Amino acid sequence: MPEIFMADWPQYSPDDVNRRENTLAAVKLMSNAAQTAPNAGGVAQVEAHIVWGYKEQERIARKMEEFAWEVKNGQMGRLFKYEAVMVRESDAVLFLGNYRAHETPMDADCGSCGGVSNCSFFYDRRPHIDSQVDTTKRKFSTLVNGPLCTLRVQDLGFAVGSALFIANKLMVDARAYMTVGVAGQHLGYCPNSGIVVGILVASTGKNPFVDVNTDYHVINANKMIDNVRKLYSLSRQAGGDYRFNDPGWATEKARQKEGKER
Amino acid sequence: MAVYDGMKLAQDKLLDIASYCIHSALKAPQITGRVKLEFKVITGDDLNPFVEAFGLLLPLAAFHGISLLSYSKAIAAGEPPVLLLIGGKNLRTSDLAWDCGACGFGTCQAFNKYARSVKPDLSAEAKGPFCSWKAIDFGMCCDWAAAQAWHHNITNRVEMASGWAARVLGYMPGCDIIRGLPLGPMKDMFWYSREVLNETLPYEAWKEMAMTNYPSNWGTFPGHGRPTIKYGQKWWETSRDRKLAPTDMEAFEQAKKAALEGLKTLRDKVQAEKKAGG
Repeated sequence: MPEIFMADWPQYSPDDVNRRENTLAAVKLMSNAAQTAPNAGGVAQVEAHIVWGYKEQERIARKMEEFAWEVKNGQMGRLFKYEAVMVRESDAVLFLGNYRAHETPMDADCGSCGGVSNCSFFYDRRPHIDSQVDTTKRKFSTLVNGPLCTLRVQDLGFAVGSALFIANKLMVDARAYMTVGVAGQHLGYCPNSGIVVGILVASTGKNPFVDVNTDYHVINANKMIDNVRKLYSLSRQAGGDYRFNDPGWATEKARQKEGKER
Repeated sequence: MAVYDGMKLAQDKLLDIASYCIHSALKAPQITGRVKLEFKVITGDDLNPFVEAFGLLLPLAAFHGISLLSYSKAIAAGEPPVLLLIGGKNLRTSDLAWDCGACGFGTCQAFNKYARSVKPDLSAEAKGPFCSWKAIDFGMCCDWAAAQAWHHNITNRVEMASGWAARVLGYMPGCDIIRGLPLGPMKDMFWYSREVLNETLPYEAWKEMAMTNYPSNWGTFPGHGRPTIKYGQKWWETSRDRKLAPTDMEAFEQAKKAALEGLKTLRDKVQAEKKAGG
């Protein structure tokens, strides 16, 4: 019988990829749980996009770092930077988007978007022809193209909740992020959605999404490993020619001799 | 050793399930981490005003009729659900300064200014406007509560109707939105595939609803200039008009006004009883 061996190191080695593929199985179940989540009226409205792999995750992380320098709020910039590190440390990213929130609202007069008991707040601020929303204008200056049907947005919350609930039951680490979702939406993931949430998922010894130290974008595991590599090559230059003089062997020999005499 | 009646025990223990659902909602991993939750658990006779409120809310939204029938049936059968109310606070203020634009404003400051200018009344289900990310968080919390009930194999359904009724009855006035989560009765289905609809909704009413909501199925050839709906088995003899007659908004506004007055009276009564009961 063939064997499957799994290890979390070296990263992206065949053994690590075996492990990541198991996380991927969980992510697929999470996306199905998102589809079956309760929502207003049982209306289909959620799309899912699963992304994984070094290059793909790096692309998302870099987009987030771009936003980090574009947003005016410095503290929010930090969110983008810190959470970009978490994208790199994840096994996979699950994007969940609501494809009705910007185009086909619930029209339930619920008051969630504008505080009044009709849907005028949404329709007054969206291009539409007799209630048929024109979504062809896709350029916008904010991170998210609002306003949205807030009831649909809340339903996206249910979908994200169900995905995370399954992750919790399967004991894979997962957490939902605005920053990841915004970056994913701008990169074209969940292409039909008005709003997207990014869920990072990982199955590693240390949950990458908790116990996050400050300045995380410059002090994190990958940066530390890189610094070890940097310093290591500098220090080894103190070594001589081991073929002629090997101080380590000389010390070991002396230790053996001392042991025999005792 | 004591002998327990299993059904009675299970009914009593629905309260335990409610507490697990509360734990689960509180454990839900929020994106913003800033939505505060409040809970109430309604049992027994305290469900009666909800039934009354469903009746009064009916002119505002017809789905309350289904809740009215369902709760009435459960109560009459001696199997009242335990109603968990989940309230969300702090949704109509953005303290995030993310300026993401999802709410329709360029900045959180502009959103907050607008939110302060709006005084929602009871004719809307929620006290909007809401920050979109907090709306997602609140949805997640409700989902975790429902998922917990599901995990325990307790029939349940997240409801706008009972949440709205709770709001009009004066429960959790500090909350911007309330959702209801009825737990039980203990059977396979109660809030889905509702028996009560088989018992009360005549075929004709269902058919009319289908024709009104999905007219394409019954639309006739439009070329003859008489836009009609194929109505009845011999539809060519009994067809109905498809003209877009204006809705009588004046009548709706009057009905709404009467409903709000009735709700206010009911709210005062419930609050007075609560006060008297300590």
